[in-house]
Amino acid sequence: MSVADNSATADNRAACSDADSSEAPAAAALSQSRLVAYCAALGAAPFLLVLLGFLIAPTSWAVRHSGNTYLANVGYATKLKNANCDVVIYGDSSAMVGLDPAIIRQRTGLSTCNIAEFAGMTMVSGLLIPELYLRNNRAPKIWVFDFAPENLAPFAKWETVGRYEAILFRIRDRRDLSTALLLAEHPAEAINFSALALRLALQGFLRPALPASTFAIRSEHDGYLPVPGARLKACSPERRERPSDPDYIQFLRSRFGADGAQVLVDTTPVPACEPTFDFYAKANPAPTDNRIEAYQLEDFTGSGRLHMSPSGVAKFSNLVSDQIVARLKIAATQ
Amino acid sequence: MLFSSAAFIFVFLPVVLLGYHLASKMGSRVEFVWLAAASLFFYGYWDARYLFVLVGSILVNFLFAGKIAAASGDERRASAWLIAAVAANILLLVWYKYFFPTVGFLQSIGLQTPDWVAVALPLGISFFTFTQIAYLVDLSQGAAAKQGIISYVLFVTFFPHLIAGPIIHHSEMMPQFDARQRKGLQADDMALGMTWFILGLSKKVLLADRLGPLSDSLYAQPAALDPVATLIGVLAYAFQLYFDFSGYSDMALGLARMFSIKFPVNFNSPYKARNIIDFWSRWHMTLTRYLTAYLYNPISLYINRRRMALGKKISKRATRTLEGFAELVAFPTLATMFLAGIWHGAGLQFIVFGLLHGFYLTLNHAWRIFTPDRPKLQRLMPWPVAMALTGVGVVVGQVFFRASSVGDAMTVLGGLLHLHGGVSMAEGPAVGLVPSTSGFLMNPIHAVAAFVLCFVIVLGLPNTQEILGEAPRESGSERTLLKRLAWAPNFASATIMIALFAGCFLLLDASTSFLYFQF
Repeated sequence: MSVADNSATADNRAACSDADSSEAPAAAALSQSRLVAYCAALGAAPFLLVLLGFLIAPTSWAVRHSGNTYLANVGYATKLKNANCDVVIYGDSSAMVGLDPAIIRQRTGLSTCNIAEFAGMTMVSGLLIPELYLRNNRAPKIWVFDFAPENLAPFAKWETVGRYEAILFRIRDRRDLSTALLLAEHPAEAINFSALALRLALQGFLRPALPASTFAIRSEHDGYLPVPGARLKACSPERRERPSDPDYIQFLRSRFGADGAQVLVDTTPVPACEPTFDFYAKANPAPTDNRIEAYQLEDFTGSGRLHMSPSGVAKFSNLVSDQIVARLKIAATQ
Repeated sequence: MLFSSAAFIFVFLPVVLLGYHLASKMGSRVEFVWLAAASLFFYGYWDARYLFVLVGSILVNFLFAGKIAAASGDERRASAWLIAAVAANILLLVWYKYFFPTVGFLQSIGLQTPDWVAVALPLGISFFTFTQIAYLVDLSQGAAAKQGIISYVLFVTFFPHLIAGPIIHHSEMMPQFDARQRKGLQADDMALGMTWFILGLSKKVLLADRLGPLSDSLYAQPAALDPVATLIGVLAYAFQLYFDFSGYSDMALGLARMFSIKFPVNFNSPYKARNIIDFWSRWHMTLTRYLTAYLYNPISLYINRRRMALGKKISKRATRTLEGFAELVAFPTLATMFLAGIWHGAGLQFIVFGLLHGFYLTLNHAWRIFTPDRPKLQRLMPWPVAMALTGVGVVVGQVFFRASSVGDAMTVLGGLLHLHGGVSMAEGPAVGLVPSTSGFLMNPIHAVAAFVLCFVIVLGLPNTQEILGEAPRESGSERTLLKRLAWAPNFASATIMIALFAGCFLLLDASTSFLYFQF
């Protein structure tokens, strides 16, 4: 081979190696950018899913297809403007499904509203619901606060008790900084809410929409939510033992009695087989205006904790009516 | 917090990754401190009280390590310090893990004992205790170097492995904690780590957690279910245990890889094993490695030395005599597995589990040693039969592992053999334990379909590390469907991973704790 040929070959080799060395960084850069894009996609996806859940949950479609009657009626108190009820009931679900305003109205002659919500609402938002009622209505003659015995103390931390509906109420009806801060303080619960919202939405595609009448149930019953269900057959062995907080009960009396209203604080009766009955009954004096009572099993349904059947509702509503009559020193109308 | 929890995925992990990335700009030491602090926070999040147990264990063992290292020229002193250190660690374990269950057992058989209030078991105590014991043993033998406090703390507490393994070895970890190796977050490791994590999360949330309630239903009331329901519960647990534990290990490996730390693989398709020896080389591999190195080998060494002192043979030929086999093979195997059973828990059922596997292994070794034409005989047994036989043995062992007592385990096994009647799972007394997210499995047809899917996954598909191209070379290749299933960081993989994550996200609030948490 001649020197020229060798030179040409050498030039070719040099040209090839130049091409190789310029391609190698470009290929590496492409590979690096692909990796970064891959990581970015996987890293962003979880947060986008959370956002999606928060966007879908408050839509009317999601609520209509939730299959959840309570969800369709959450936040009933916000619908009451100038209702100006003489008797206002607030508490947890045992109050919402256990105290019938119609019975109390019949017994006392006083207009009655039931603005109670699941315990999760009080857990998440404290006493926001009765405060909201007072913004649009005059103070009642008498407040009736009724809770299951384990709910007569503030929640130290969020528990799984109707939390979904409570959070939905906040992001749909109280979309403000306080809600944002609240969710920021409970990030795990907020994210689980989003996950549940997406799951419910997916299930919603397979579920028929709730009829329009479902959304009016509480309005038609002055806030009482009649919950159908088979009679309770046996008590749950679960022991929910949270001592009542006298300071909390006193706070209810002082805060809501400030406008001159009377305040009754009651604890919902329990089935006779309730394992924690003795735990709550031993408190002496009783922290509430009624002593904890044991009703028959048939006075309860199996639809939720201390949810009453029509016989239980009648009994308890009459009991509270008697308390109202005595407290307001009025004559019973029946 | 669980790896599969919202708090971990959305808050803890992003914060730690971001902090690590920022710390890497300030030097390796800052990186280590950040990771160690994050790991201690991770542990303390469960229960801050037990942080004192962990920190105390680390400090005491670090001091012992100093004493052992200082006595390196003096074998007797080093051994004395080692014995003291091991005794202290075992005492800690005995106190938290075995003392109160033993008291409970004594009380149950009518013996009077003082009325002590039981203490809860600190999470991962077995794991961080044995990891440190291994390090101290190797240090005393000159097989490990004395570490500085920060790298030692990180070695013990690094959060991906802290609660439930894999059981890491200092020789594979310390070089990775070498300051010269640290480079901060790397895109290739992040991509692989995130993928590995999602695959593990999917196994846990989409498979293990959905099957778990079926086994819970059985073991809550073992005498109540009919043979079909019992079989469903038993198989459900076999798959739940594998997907839960291997899923956790995958998450741990993925998390470590995000920080460019390589953990050893812990599962290698164990249900594909064709004999029990093979099974233990594929199931909880780091535990097998640990048991072999720190229990089996020392026991064997002791026996060999004793035999030699008595003029007996210790060669392979010696194992072909009954006497030699009993001493050289059977005893070390049974002793090791007996201790392995105890490691898993303070209950007679765990001892039975350990001894059962010890018996299986001894039988397998005997088959290999005493059958003259083993290859020919093996050809008579097709591999699916060998796999099924191994599977049956493993599942029987799992019944003892899962049951709350030996009695319950025998009831379950009796149920499989139709020794007592019962009702279907949907009619069972514990049906209330089944959440709505697993309710569809109450239908036997759906349960069977789920099991078929599980069988295809565990027997037919490549495992996680094979898909990711991270399988150890020595693992070899096996018959699998989708042999070419291989991950690459591209659009298709990203889509699949996001879809899998979305599926897990939908069930995140229904996720349960890991099975190996209270070990």
